[in-house]
Amino acid sequence: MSRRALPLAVTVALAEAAAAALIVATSNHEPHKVATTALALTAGLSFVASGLIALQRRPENRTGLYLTAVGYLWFLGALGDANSHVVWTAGVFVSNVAFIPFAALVLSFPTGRLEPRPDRMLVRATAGYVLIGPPLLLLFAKRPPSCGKNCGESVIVVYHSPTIERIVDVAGSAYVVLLIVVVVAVLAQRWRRASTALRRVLLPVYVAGSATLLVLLISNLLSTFSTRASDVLGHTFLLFFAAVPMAFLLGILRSRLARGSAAGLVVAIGRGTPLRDAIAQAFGDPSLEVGYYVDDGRRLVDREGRRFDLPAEGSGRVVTTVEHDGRQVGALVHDASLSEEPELVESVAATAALTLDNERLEADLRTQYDFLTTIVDTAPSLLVTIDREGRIRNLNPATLTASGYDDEEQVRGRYFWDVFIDDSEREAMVDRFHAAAPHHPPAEYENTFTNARGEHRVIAWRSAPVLDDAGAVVRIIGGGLDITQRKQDEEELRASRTRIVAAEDEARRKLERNLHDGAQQRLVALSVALRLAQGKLPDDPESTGAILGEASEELAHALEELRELARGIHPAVLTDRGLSAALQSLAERAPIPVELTTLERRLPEPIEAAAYYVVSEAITNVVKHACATSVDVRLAAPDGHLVIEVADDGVGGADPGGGSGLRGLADRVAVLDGRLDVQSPPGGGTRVVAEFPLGA
Amino acid sequence: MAHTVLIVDDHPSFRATARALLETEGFRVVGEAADGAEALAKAGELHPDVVLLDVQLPDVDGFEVSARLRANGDSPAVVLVSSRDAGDYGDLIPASGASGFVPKGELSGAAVRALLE
Repeated sequence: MSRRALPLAVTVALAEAAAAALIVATSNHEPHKVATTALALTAGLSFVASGLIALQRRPENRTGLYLTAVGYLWFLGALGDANSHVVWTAGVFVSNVAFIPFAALVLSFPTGRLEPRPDRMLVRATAGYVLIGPPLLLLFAKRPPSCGKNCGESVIVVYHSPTIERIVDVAGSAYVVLLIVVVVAVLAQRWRRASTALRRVLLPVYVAGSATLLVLLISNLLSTFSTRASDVLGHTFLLFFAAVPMAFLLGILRSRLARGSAAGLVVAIGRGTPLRDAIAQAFGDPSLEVGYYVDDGRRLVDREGRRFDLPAEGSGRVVTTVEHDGRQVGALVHDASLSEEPELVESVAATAALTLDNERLEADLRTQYDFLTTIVDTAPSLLVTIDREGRIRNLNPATLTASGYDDEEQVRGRYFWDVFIDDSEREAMVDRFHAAAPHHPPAEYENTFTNARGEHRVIAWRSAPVLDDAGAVVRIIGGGLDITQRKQDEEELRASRTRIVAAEDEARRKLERNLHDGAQQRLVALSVALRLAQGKLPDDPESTGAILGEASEELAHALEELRELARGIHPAVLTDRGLSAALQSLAERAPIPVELTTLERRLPEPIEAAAYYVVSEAITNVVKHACATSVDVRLAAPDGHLVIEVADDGVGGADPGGGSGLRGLADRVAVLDGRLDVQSPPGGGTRVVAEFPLGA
Repeated sequence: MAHTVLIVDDHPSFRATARALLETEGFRVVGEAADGAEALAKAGELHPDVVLLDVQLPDVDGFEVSARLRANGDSPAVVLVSSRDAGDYGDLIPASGASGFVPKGELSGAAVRALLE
């Protein structure tokens, strides 16, 4: 509203009030002239005044418009006291028109907006009654029953009928009661859904409004039965009605007070009030939440650095983004009712920006700290900080696990070397530590120790100093890798290699011995026998024949032994015809029955050789030790693996770790990434299972 | 007079062939032994002129047996035999106190006799 329009509006209101007062004062049928004048004028003027204030303050909000409209239309009610019957009859048509903007005012507060349902419907229903109800009555009666003798006379009676008049009157009262009940129900529902901040604004209006409605309701109910009671309640109603605009004003004043505290935000922050609480006070919204933008505005977190989610659309919560130096630094999540106070929200956001940015940096740091803490806590590496005296200050879970203790407090504060260094190395370690003082340059070393649980651990350590601004060492950070398993694996590998080399040497020795004791001996004997035969031939042809016969036999033995030896080194059939044929040949030559289930397809050469060796060695073991009557050999290749099973029905009791035979088998299998399992319960036979990956 | 011989070897087929060969060439084989312990026992009992001794025996090796036989004053001559070459044994042969070494493939009465002279 412009500055020029305001005096005009005030002048019109005052003129209306003066006219109304004149009509009441000169009325020949108004019994309570002073009371009615005072109350009616107070009500009308108070609506106009509060409406004009609201329009000044928030022109875009229709609340002011509705308030003002109620005030202006209110004075038309004075026409009910007019002496002229024509004017009085016209007055009945317009006397209640003020209730139309009044319904709109109540239903739209505080936003000033009417929802299509149910707000607009209810305003239309009100208008329907106000414009049709009372005039309708005047078609059938000279005077409405509610005003008794204190009325003018209708000039538009078309058919005088007390019955119709009564029906119209009761129906009208029932309609009003129903309307009021529906409006009260709608407002009650709004109250239930309203946030604390919104309720603070609604409260005065609802208190005055519900009191007025209550009186109106009772007055309507009683008017049907008693004119006197209706008169008294009519004045009471006016009293309450005059208070309603003041209640709206109070609601508005509360918002003004809230805006006043935006300036107090700086003071509150200065006094050390936490930022969130200070903003909540300034907004008058205890449900306020503050989020901080971190990671260059990519993520929103709360003060503790935890994820902060913005409310969904339509949740009744609104987000105001706070900017500082052209950058988004935070988000204020507050009640939707604060959208009615954009200046308050803006001024608070601007005032809080700097402090919020500082807190954002803290939250950002906290997020980074949490991130690093997570890394340290989940790292498989040992991480420990040591003070200049060599005492443990902090350690991560991996370090605690390596120490063999269950609780950090059992380790913290103790000397590093008392926890992680064995007695035998401790003195050297302490000397080394003191020798490195005061600079403690980066160092690496590896140590073996027995931890609190009695486990042997091998740790590869690296240490580095942490320096203060002056370059002095404040503490030493130690990082360690538990290489116990690696060392064990290396040791196992070394032992396995040694065993393989030893087994090869042993195999060569055996081969040489077999050659020497077998075929070579026989050939030597043959050579001697041939020379003997040669010497005897001229004199004793008969015994020469016998010697040659024996020699021929010896030669056949030698040849068989050479063939057997050659097969032992590497069976030709394995190379030429594959594993299946080689195993069949092996089974046929075995001194006990062998039941063989084999694979037809060819496998990679190293696997075939290893598989042959496993079966051959296992059968040799069965023959030598098991006292079995038969052996069952099965080969299968499920899921890219070759599985070999050699089972006998012998005495069992074989020790997989004991004999060099089984150990050698395990080594040979391990070379091809396979594994060997031996089950041999005493009296339950022996079952050797080897498994090889077949590769891609 | 014919030399008496004790044949020591763990292979019966070699012992039989050596016996036939040496007897054909004028030696008198007085006994056989299959290992070192039996060789020492039979040598003490039979007093042969010559012990034809295989180097590789199941219990102790021929060099050890030779050394023990030669340790007594009245000891037989020892001729070491083996299916390996003399070169495989280095100076073990002279150190053992044996009269000499004959590869098994070259064994003959003449070869033994040559070493005894």
